[in-house]
Amino acid sequence: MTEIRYFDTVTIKHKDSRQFLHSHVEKYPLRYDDGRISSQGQQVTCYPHNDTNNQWQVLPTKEIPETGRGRVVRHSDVIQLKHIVTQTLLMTHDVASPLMATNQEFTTVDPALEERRNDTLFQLQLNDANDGTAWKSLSGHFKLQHLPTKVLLWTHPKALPEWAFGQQEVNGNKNQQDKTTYWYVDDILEDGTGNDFKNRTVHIEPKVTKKRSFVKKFVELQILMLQHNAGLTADHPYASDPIEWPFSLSGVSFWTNNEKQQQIYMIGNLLGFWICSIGVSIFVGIMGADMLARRRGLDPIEDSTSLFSQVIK
Amino acid sequence: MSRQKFLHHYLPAHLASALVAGSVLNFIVVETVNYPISALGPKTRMRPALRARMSKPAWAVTLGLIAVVIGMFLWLSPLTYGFP
Repeated sequence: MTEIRYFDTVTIKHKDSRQFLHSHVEKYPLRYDDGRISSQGQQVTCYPHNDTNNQWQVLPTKEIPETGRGRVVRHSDVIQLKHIVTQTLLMTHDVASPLMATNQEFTTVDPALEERRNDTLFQLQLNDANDGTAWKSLSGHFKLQHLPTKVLLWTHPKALPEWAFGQQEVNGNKNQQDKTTYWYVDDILEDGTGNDFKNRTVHIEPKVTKKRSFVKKFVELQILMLQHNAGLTADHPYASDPIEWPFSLSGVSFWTNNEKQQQIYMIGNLLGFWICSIGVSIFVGIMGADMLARRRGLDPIEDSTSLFSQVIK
Repeated sequence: MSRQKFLHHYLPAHLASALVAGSVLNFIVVETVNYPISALGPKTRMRPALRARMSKPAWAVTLGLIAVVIGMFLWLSPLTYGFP
């Protein structure tokens, strides 16, 4: 965790999909397959691998001092992000994104174009922060809100067509409550002043571990599991219904190898599972019948040669 | 909604059901259980000894079941253990 200062070059990752905010010289095609039209601006995407095109420089929009604490980027600061390789500024505008007509397109623009400057302003909204909280790498989860249009920088796991090399789409999300709009700075690569930046966070208080009772922890874990479970949307290719489990109708895919087309697929011992299931059903049946009979004063199962009845007496 | 199946979803339940299946089989093929079931201690009251006897068909059924289960295991093991 290092505090981020203005003019730092950073890589930014999306918290949920763990992909880097990325841009490259290729432009959006003028016309998409569904007939909608783009701005033909430079593409902004998300990319899972390390690449120089993931590097962005944090620029100030206010006067900052030459040195010292005044250069630290803080909560609710308005910043610009400059793409290092193409030397252009991140922006968004009222043009529909390639895949979602409801969301705004992200692109970049030449810093010299003064009339587009307004579109390059973003407000940094740190999660769980007050005014003055410093922006830190890794732990500082943030939303990036576009100042003029109020949309949030967002990405979702949907691949763009070939013209963007199948990379993940980035667009502007209007839904301020969306929980998947968080990003974090993965790494600081360079300092604007060429100073040693690795050690500049002088003193970090070690976090004190809070004590909680076992019951509280247990309840919290249960709630977290329920919430996570309720938030599941995608189906797993090897998903199965619980009713299939006692009969081992579906297996577990332990290991696959796409290149050689190999797979280890665990099927339970089918006969073993079925015998056990039959055994349990017989047990339930016998017990049920016996209970019913006892209610009516019958005793179909003798108490094991009256051995145990002796003990009871 | 369907879920991905994990070992911890069914293995404990399967083990318990295997135990139940064993005692159900015992209940069906054997009239009684071996008795006494514990060693003689200083305060144990003595009881007449009992021996569980299995008839020939009972042996056949039990051994048959064990054989098919082992056979099934051998038949499926290349898939599960990834023998080439």
